[in-house]
Amino acid sequence: MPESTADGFHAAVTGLGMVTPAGIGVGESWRGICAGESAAAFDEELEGMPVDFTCRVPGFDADKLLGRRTAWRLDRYVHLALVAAREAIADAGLDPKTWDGTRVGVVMGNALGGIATFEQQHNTMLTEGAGKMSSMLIPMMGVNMVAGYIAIDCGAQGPNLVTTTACASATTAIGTARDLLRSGRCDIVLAGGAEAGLTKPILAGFTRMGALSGRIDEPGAASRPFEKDRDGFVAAEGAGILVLERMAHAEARGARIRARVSGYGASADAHHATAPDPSGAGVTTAIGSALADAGLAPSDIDHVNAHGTSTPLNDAVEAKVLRRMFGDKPAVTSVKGVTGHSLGAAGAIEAACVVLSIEQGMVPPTANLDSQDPAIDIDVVREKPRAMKVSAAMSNSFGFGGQNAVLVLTAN
Amino acid sequence: MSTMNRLSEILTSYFGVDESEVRPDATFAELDLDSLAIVEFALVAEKEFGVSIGDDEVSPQATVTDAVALLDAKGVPADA
Repeated sequence: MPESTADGFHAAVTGLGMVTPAGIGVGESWRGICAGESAAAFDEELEGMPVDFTCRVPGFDADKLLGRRTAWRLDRYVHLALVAAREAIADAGLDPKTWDGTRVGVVMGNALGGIATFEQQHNTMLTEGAGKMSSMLIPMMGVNMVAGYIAIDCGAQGPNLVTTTACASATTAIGTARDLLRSGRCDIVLAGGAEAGLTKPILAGFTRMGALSGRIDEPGAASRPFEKDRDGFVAAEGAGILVLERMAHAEARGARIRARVSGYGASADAHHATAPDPSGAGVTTAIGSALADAGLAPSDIDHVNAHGTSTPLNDAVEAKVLRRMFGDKPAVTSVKGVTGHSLGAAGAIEAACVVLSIEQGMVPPTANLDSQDPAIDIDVVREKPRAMKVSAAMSNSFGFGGQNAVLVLTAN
Repeated sequence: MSTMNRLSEILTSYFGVDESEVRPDATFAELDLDSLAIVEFALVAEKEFGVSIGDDEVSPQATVTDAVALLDAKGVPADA
């Protein structure tokens, strides 16, 4: 078992919820992610766009899963989050009817809010007039609303907020949740992220930046982290939630502690709006700070769940930093080969994967890694899951704006 | 179909209200339609019935019977 954190603080992970392009629920998601087959496919809502494929959550029916009475007034990104939150709470063995809600916080990551609702209502305004717009536009589109609606759904009356650091949002949320527990403000925090912004303008915007893979003829091969022919990320949607608790709280109620969040580090590149600093200085700072927070050395890390977006620049810089700090010891994977990149949800889905890797002694493979980029000299798991003991692992997330967030998770 | 039946259909299919709850004396608030949801209701009802409904013409305290009376007063045809 790893040494204790710098100040001896760990947050217990007692519950998981996942809604991903690999499936609805932790079981389906994890099976899909371990199978290593990309979820990317032609997206009929993007018909006619230069990049017309994404990773959507298959068969997600909010009316069926949440009830029409709840679903009609929420944007899809909140739908995904509520399903994941309910799963996580049940998995933790918690009953919102009996908990002290004032001690339960919610911290969610999100980047785009209810952008699909906004676009739809903007269109209504242009075609039918302002008087025909929905009264639900504002509560449906706010980036903050996902945490508010989770609280309404389960009666969490403690601190409630949304962190927004682009693609690092959910990792920032989990780190912030850990700080809330550490400060004593909460006993339980539902922490994670949700995103559902697969709209034409958003995809077109990413396309204009050159950020997306352009493999329209073979979408299943498009997300290929660390591979020599990678050409961009595949946009995705999803949600992930971790139930975090103060260790003493989890132990007192006899909860199953699935893993611990033992360290968190964050930094800014202070370099460029969207391109990572090629020196990797900001990433190095965030990783170093997360390790120091956990009281661990680089050699303690068995596994890294990488940001690994499949963009030429991100993967090169991330791999360079990992090689420099860790050598070739940790087994590195990017689940984005399967799930695509769900922006503000990605960090939570990936942290949940790390919990499962620790628990099951298994690291999922990076999909589409046919031929690893020769400039990338790290041990990337390929083809099939690798059975190995994972005592301490790291989950990386790096957002536009140069916003970096890193978690260290350890076995209980 | 009567105005009542068409109203009931909107409440169940669009707003997810259980059919058994749509009684003549049930208020919109009891059906989980607060003041925000009422504005949405007015939009949906306008489309369904082809009449114009002002934001202040239905309140959360209004009953299903009140809404039927309002629609009928606006000249909603019994069948459409």
